[in-house]
Amino acid sequence: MNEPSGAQESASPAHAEAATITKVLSFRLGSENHAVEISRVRELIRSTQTTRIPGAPRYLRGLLNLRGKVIPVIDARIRLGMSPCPLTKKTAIIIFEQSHNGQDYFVGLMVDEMRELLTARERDIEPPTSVASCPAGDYAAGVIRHDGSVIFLLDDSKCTNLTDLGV
Amino acid sequence: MNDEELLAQLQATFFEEANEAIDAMEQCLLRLEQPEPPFDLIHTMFRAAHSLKGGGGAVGLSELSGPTHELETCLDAFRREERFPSESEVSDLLARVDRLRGQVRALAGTGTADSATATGSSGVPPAPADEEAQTAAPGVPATPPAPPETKAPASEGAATSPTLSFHWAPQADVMRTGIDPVLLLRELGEIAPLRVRLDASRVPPLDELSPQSLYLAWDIEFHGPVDLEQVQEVFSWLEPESQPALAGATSTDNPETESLAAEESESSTVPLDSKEASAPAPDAVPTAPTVVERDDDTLMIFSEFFDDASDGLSEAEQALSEFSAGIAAEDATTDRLFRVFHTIKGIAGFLELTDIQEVAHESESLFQKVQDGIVALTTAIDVAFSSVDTIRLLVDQVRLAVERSLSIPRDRNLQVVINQIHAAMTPGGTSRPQPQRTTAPPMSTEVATPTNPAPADPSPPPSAVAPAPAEPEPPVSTAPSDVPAPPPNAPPKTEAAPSARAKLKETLKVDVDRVDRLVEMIGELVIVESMIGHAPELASIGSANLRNQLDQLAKISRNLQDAGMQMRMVPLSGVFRKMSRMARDLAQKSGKKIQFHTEGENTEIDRSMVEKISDPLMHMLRNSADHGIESAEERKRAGKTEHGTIHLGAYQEGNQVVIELSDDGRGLNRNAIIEKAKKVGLIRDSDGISDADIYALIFSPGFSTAKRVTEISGRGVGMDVVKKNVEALRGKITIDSTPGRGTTFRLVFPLTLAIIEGTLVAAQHERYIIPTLSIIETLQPHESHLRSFATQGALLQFRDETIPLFRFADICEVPGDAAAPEESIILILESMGSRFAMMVDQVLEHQQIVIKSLGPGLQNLRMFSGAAILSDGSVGLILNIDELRAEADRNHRGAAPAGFLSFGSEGPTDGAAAQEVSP
Repeated sequence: MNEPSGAQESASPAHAEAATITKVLSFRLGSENHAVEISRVRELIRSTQTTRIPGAPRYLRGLLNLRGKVIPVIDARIRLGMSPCPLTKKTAIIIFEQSHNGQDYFVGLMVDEMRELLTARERDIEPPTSVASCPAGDYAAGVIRHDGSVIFLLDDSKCTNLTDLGV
Repeated sequence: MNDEELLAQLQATFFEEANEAIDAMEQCLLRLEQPEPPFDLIHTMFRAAHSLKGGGGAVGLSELSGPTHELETCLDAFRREERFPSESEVSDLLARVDRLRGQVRALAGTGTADSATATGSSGVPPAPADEEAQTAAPGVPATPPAPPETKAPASEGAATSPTLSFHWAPQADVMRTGIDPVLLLRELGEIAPLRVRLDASRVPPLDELSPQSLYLAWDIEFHGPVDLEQVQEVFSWLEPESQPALAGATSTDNPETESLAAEESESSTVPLDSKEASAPAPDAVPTAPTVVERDDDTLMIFSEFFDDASDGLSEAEQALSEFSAGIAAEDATTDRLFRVFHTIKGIAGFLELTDIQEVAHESESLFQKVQDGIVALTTAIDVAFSSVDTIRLLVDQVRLAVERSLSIPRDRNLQVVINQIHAAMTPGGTSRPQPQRTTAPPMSTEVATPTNPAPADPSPPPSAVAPAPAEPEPPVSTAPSDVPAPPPNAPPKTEAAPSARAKLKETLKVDVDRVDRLVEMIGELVIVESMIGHAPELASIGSANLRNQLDQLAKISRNLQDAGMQMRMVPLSGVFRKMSRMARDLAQKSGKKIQFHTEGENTEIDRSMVEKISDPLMHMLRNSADHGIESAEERKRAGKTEHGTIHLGAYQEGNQVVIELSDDGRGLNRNAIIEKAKKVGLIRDSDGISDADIYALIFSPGFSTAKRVTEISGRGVGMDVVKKNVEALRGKITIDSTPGRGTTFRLVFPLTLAIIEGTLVAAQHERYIIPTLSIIETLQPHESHLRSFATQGALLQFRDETIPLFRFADICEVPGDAAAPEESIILILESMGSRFAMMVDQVLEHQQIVIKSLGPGLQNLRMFSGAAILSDGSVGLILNIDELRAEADRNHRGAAPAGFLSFGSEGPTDGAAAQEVSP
């Protein structure tokens, strides 16, 4: 999780002292701030027009047309046991590329609002022991202290895992 | 088509597949030597070897079973031990593969009639059939196809007159009695030095050739003291008709012997030329080009040969150039060259292009010598270039002849080139004495160049070679002086070109992935085009010009889509051939008399579907042959012809391919099916169920498992599998049967799996795609047709049936208020052979849908077989009707219909309202 990401960062003198830094993309889920590692993100989508899939678990929000490809979109809030993301102008979808049984596929994660790109030093990221007891604790990869607030770093592959779709 | 033709066709197909498999194995082996080879390679090779073994056996080429089995065993060892072969093991495997290729080529080239000879030489590509088999040195296998001139004791043989000579023409059925003529010939060779000349004049055209019959005859000459009794002894096992007439066999100055000697030099150019050589005695006089009808298959083979030859020659040229330039090593270059000429020889032999075969063969021998280190490649290089040029010319001439539906020019004088090759082959720089007619002086290798003036051979004219005046004289050698003068009996130079030219299809081998990618992109283009066409912004623009152009764009995209689809289409003929073969085998096994007819085998279908179609067809055919067609006695009793008839036909209907398999057997036993269906609980009562629905019950899983049923009903083995396979291809299957008259299975497939005809339906704000193939009828609901059961289940009176009625919005839990029934549309759908009705809000449009896979993780969503991009850019789900029905049964059996039957009321009402609907 704390592996270095982005060669350009290590070249920057401002972060020269930080051997391991993690660039994360933060977003809002309800009133909380969450984040994923930016290196895992393929692209960000504003369009929220998804097609509902009858019979699918609720967290599977629907299907999205990404330049001719059909991509499943997962509602991050439902996944974490919260109420569904209300569709607003700020709703966004983060596209990840995942791999299952050697087959690569794209999957989207719907969030309430994009926030910012952050650089977290290793010592800023705590292991997710504090949330381990929560029902959704499995989805957390770490807790980032940032400007006096807390950002939950999510494990994107767990959040976007579709293989447990026991429909 | 008779059995022999069939087998020949099957073998031809096998040879194609075998070559592919061998090429694939070779590729794998080569890949093994590159860094980080995937272990899959071993599996791939094993499978290839395994299917080669099986395939060869299936088409009666038992000769291949040994080497393929060995290969399979080798590969299996690596597979089991999960290790990669070492470098030397790879070499060994490559050698095996090469030997196998040689054998396959030989079998394909010489025809199966004399396939026994192919096994004679141990793995080394056997000599073509037209060559003289030299058994002078007993026990020593005839190593690489030696040209007639280079055989070791030839001079001795030709010089002395034979002590005993006779003609041996065994009966055609001799091999069925277990006699292998090759073994007998070898035995003869042990008696005394002998010369054997093949007489292939009895070989019929390929399509009449039976692989189990022997058409070959031999002229045998002993050169040495012979005990006649010993010779007779060899033939003693044969039927008298197959024995040679030894009593009248002459010892010395037999006139026949002379003619034999005279023909010697020509024998190499008069091969298995069965199609044209009607005269039994080989004749060097060229036949005038005549109009020849070639069927599509033949044209296809020719066309492939032209491509292959052209590729090969370019490859050879490149190899030679690279070597000349010092880029490539001698070993590698020689290997490349050897392979090219070997391949060309093989195919040319198969196509009876003896001239090309000969030059290729001689060149191959030359490179063999280079490989063996007898000749240096540097000395052979000019000759090699010249061979390439010659073959290219010959290929061009054949192409021209084929294009104009003319007979292929043969028996050209290639002596100049051959001599050059021979000259180059002789390490000492001098060629061996040439046979009689070629009085070439010994040539040194330095002068063995294309421009080397070789003496003109007064034999066949090039005019016979070039059928059209427009065609330049074929300079067999680049030196003009080499072109011989036409003999007096040369046909007129201007051969009227036939008005109807045979269409020689040019083909291009393209990676399937590329085609798929293209088709995919076309699909995307069509979507974007459709999105633009439907854009609301455009509606406000009143430009007729823009409209026209958009219409034009739409038309072009549709055409493009069709063209893309067509690239993936292949004819069903391969599948049909398989079925023919199977019908024959089934008839033999069951002892029934079955006539099998096919029709429409050129109907095309998507490449990816062809293989998957043969499985269900095989099941159905087996059912028809086993259970449909009665025994001869039974048929007689029923007043039918003794032989049953099975008909397999295909045709295209719009965007669908229809395949029909019908028999004139006893038909399905309706009562037996009903009995069984009741027993397994598929139905309670047969009343009111149509025949078609009763017959469709045999497709139900569980119906077919009991063996007893098959005995009673005569059908049912694996029919659920058939149905499943057909439906996996988005196909539909229906049965029509008349007791005592026969049964017809009708399969309807989409042309391609990538695109379906879809009907877009709406439920509230959601839209779904229903495969149009599943929709039997669309109708407006009418109060008088609706029924309810216990105020809960909804039913629809559809013609004579009462079928369950579901509301789509309920099955798929579409949010929002359902539309009133009078504003809805009812679709009659068919699933697993039974019908049901589904109410949707609207039927929007029919369109061609490019199917997108749902991808990993979503495979479990069985209710949907895929997705598509709709014209507004959103994703639409394609409904899997069977699963939809199953889902409806799961979720709504006994559930309240939410009063959707009540007309004129908004939304759900109570059960009482629904009851009012009853008439």
